[in-house]
Amino acid sequence: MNTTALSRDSVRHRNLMWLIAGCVVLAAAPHVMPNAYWMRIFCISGVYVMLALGLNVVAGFAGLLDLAYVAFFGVGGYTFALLSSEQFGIHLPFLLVLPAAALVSMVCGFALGATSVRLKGDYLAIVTLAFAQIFKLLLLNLDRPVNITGGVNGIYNFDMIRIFGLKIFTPAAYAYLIWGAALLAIVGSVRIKSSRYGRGWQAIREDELAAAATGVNTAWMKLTAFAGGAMVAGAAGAIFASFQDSVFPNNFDFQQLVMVYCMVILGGMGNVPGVVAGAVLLTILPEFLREYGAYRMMSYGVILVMLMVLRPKGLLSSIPFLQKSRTRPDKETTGRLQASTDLYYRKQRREKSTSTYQKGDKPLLVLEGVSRRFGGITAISGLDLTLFEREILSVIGPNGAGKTTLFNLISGIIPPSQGRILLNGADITGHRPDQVVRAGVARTFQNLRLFNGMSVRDNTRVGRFCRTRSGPLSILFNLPRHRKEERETMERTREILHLFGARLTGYRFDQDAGSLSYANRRRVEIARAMATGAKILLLDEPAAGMNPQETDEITEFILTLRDRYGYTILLIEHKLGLVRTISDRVVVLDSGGKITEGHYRDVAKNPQVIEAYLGTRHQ
Amino acid sequence: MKRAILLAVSISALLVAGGPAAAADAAKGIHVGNAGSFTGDAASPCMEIFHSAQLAVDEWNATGGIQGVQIEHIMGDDALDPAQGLNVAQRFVADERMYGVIGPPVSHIAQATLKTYGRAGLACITTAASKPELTESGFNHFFRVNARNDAHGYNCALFIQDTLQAKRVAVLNEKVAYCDNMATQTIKGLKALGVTDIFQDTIVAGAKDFYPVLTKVKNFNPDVLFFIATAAPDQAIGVRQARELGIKAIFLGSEGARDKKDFIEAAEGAAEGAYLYHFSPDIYAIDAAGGYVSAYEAKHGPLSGFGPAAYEAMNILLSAIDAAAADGDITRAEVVQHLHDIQGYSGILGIPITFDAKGDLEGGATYFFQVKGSEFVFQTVLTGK
Amino acid sequence: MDMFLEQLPQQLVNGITLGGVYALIAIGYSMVYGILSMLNFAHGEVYMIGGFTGWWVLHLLYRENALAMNAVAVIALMVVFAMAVSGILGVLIERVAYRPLRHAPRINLLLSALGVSIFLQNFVLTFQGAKVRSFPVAALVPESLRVIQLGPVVFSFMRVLVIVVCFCLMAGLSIMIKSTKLGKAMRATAQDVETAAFMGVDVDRIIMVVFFIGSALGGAASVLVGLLFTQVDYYAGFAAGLKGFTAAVLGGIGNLYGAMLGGFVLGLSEALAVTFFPAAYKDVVAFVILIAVLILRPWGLMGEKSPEKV
Repeated sequence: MNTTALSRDSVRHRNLMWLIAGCVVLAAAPHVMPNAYWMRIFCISGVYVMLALGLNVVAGFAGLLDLAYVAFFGVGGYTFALLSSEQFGIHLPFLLVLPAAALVSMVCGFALGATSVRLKGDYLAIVTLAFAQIFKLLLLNLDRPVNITGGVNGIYNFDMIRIFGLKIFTPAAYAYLIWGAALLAIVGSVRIKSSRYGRGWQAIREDELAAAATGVNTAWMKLTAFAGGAMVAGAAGAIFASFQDSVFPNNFDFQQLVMVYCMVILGGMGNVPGVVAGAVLLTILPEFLREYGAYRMMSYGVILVMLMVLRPKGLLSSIPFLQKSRTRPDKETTGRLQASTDLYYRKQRREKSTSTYQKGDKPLLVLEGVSRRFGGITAISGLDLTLFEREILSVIGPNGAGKTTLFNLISGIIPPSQGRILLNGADITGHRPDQVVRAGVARTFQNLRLFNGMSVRDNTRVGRFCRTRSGPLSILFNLPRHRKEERETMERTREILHLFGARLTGYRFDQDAGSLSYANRRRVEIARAMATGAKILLLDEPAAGMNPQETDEITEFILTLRDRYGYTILLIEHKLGLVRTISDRVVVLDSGGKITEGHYRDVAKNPQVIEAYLGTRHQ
Repeated sequence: MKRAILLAVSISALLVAGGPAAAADAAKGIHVGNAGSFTGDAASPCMEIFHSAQLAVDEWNATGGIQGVQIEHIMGDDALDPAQGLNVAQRFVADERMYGVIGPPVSHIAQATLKTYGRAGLACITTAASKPELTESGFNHFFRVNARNDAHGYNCALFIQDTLQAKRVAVLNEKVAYCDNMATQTIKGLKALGVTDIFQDTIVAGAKDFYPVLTKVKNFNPDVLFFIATAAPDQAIGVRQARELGIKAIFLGSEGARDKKDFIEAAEGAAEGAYLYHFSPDIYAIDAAGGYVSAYEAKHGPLSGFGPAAYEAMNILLSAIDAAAADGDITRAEVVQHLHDIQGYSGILGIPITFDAKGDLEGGATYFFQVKGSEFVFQTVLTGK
Repeated sequence: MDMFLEQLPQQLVNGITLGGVYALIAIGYSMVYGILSMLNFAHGEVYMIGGFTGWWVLHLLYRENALAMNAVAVIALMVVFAMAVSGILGVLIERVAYRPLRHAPRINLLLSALGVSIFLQNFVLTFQGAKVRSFPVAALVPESLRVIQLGPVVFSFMRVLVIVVCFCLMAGLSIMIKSTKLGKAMRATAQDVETAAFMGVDVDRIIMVVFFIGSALGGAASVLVGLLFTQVDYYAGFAAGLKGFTAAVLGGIGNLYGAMLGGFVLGLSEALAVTFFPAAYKDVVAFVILIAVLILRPWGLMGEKSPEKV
């Protein structure tokens, strides 16, 4: 356990150093600015840093194409404007207005998320774009019959900001205020990115369905992404409004949205230092091009296309300096590189010996008359199935027999048309996938649904999502509960990955899942399912695409899972050798119904089974 | 850690080195700025403003500039975004050789940047921003060669009520600051003059199909349709579609409609008999403007209504700078002072230009025209009495 | 209330004719989406450039005094040129900005499209200027045909023409997609690009053809809309694009009939919104309808729900 503590400390140490260095630069910057113009650019780049970091939460971390983002910036701005100007004669102190703006904006983000949480990809983009248009039209037109927003004339001449009696009106004071807030946003972003929330969002970005099947409450997480992004944008909006001393509908146009997106893209979606650099760069760059009018915009267009074509992950993320450094767990304790195969074989020797668990007699998972129809087609009809404690039960059958549909029904991805599914006697019919995982049933996918852009370690850590509880606040303030959970997550992840020996440890730890071999990706899927803490694993063709040696290895591994660790396993497999070796029982499906079940020996001799597999012999 | 320090040092170095070199010697160069929305929605009128001002600068430079120094005309594009407008303002303000600015022509951006220019005492002459409050803020740097909305609004109301003898008036305005404020001021004036049967609604510029809202107007059956839009093409569509729908009301267009090609020609006959107002007499009828008009049209195609004022404003600004430079050095305060001192400047607009203490155009007259054939025929001039 | 009822017939006609315009633009969006599942943000700009092409054709003929030619021939010439230019432009865009990204995340594709759109818009701004171009339509449509009065309802000849063309295009397209070999290949590609490629469909070529047709339709639409509203300018693509793709999505993007239905629904809702609310809120009403439809039927009015493969 020393290793984790040490590595965390060194990471914190490094982060702290960065933070101090940043503070020094930012504190010195206002005093070395050559003139008011550059001071303004310095300030406004801070606002854009905040804005880009907020968008980075929604679009970068969670991958949600939120085109209403700039509206939240506007909500913040106008909230500030209404609460500290002559518009309604309300003059609240800034320390009240700032959180109010963030909160109002957050609530709006939550509402937007709630209406569009079912929508994916392009449709989400369109709905949010529609919301943004509505927002702008309201800003423009809510000056009649009652003047609320000031319409085209906007609202201007705001109260001076006072923070504990300190008047903020000089450019330097604004620079401190803005960059102070931006710094908080940076620290918050870094913290949340490496937390369960950050990983949950990234999992949704990579593969929403797989995220749900790994125990991430996708609907809630998407809502929090919307709300989180909106909150940052709202706070940025309030500060921006005060800095500009006026707000107009044009401040929150589609063009601004495009600009902020470009910042996030340039920096690399989800890459916090990259996004900060992108925001600063894109605030400064136009200043050198301002004299060129339409040529400036033309070059933006070309740059955007070229960036997407040539550097789709962002210009800045390809600079190694800005990439996160890879930690090598096998190197941590001693500082020397240790051959990862050593770890593998050492573990092997210890683990092989004992067989602690055997099949029990208690029914764990029971399906009662479960049916599922798609339109006119019945994929599963009236299926009864019982899975006993610590049993290895294989489901076989020809293609189209309904095996994968069965898994989808159990894991809650599709609800059954009829029938009940009981887990430990409790009814889990119609539960969401993440609820099913939390209840103790995790799965893998036939056609591999890993979070390809995330490391092996992070893939596995996503599995812990449903077993941890820290909320955004305890993450942002780095409270003991969050620290403890992170530690436990890391330990558990390490334990599980070490079960696979050298296959997934060592330098593999930090490799992107997408870059692994096919067999290794299958292993990571199993590791991810195990990390959820579920005791029932649904493995969908775990040996598909593996060579004979690897098949033997995975066969043994599945046995170990039961024998040593007491997992209950429901398995779909076409490799009958594997099925014969490890199954306690076999269920044969054909055309959505159960033909027979029993021990492999008996099932294999069943004429119906032979017919289903080989067809009837016509004579 | 080392990298962090390295980064910190290099960023600081960059910040120090990054700014423009501060030049103190005024005689080494004279800059005039042009702040406007040269890309995006309002690019068309703004580019006309820029090209016209450029013509004026070119003419000055051709005759030796100011005190032998060539004048540099710098574009500051704000893309119709007030925040970028402020970037432009700060940039102009920070440029020590910058002695005056044409613009911003868009009211809300002028509003956002007012204090920045004002605190620096940098003279701004807008050619289109007509929001009354802009010259009511206590600064003395802000001038306009166009009339204010409140003056125009009352004059238009008077014209509608008195000259056109209307009892029922429909007002359609585009939802931008100029048009919206114009509508508000006109309706205020109409009510003061006892016309209360007023229908008001808005159009979206560039939407191109005004049938739905014009159907509403037709249903209201007004005597006069006051159609307030920035650009002539929208006015042309407005009058054409109104006639197509069979609206018989007198069509009164706004300043932007004084554009032969984009209003009279584009409406293809539908504009016949329509009225419109403008803050200056017909540019084509003024001898002094002949040179400018032909120079502009040869280079950039037909003029709409926005260019002449910009040409005039730039000439006024440059003569103020010229006057300030007479003693060898120029300060911004001198330029502002000389602008205030201008009495009855006679240029191409056909009206003598004098700024009052606030920077507004003295007089604030509104000229009314009627379309007859392919010409704008002068009807009357009202001065708010 | 009477006031509203009185104008209702006219407003319904207004809505349907405006809807025709939206439908025309939406079809191009929908076609590209059907094959590639991507929102071609640059379609609005392609549309705008088609309009400019049509304007230039008309302008040159006008200058050469060639308008003595048959009006139908002039319009046909404009449409053909506009279709050719925007079609080729569409293919070019696909080649340069989309094809390299075919396997990239959706968001990258969308931003690349946005880049193309920004570029084209400002390209036209630079080389054609910001000024609005007017179509001299009086020479094309005889006075007597320009406005048609039917009882209390007025509509213009060009509006009827737009709707007729819209339906003709629809019919032509569906015949092509249903019963030609090319159409079959297009449908196969729409179903599954990779499988279609395995089956010997030259996917790159099909996508090229789709972009050509979709963009050419945009160009044709732009000329018709230009003749109807008599104007085109460099900014026309944004508003048209926004409405066109709202219509496409409303109807169920990827479905051509859906695009038409979406167009008409959008046009009608705008006209009726103007009838009952201040005109400034017409877009609010249109977008609220869009949101409501997508929340209740996330796949649009006529789109098919495609369950995710697991």
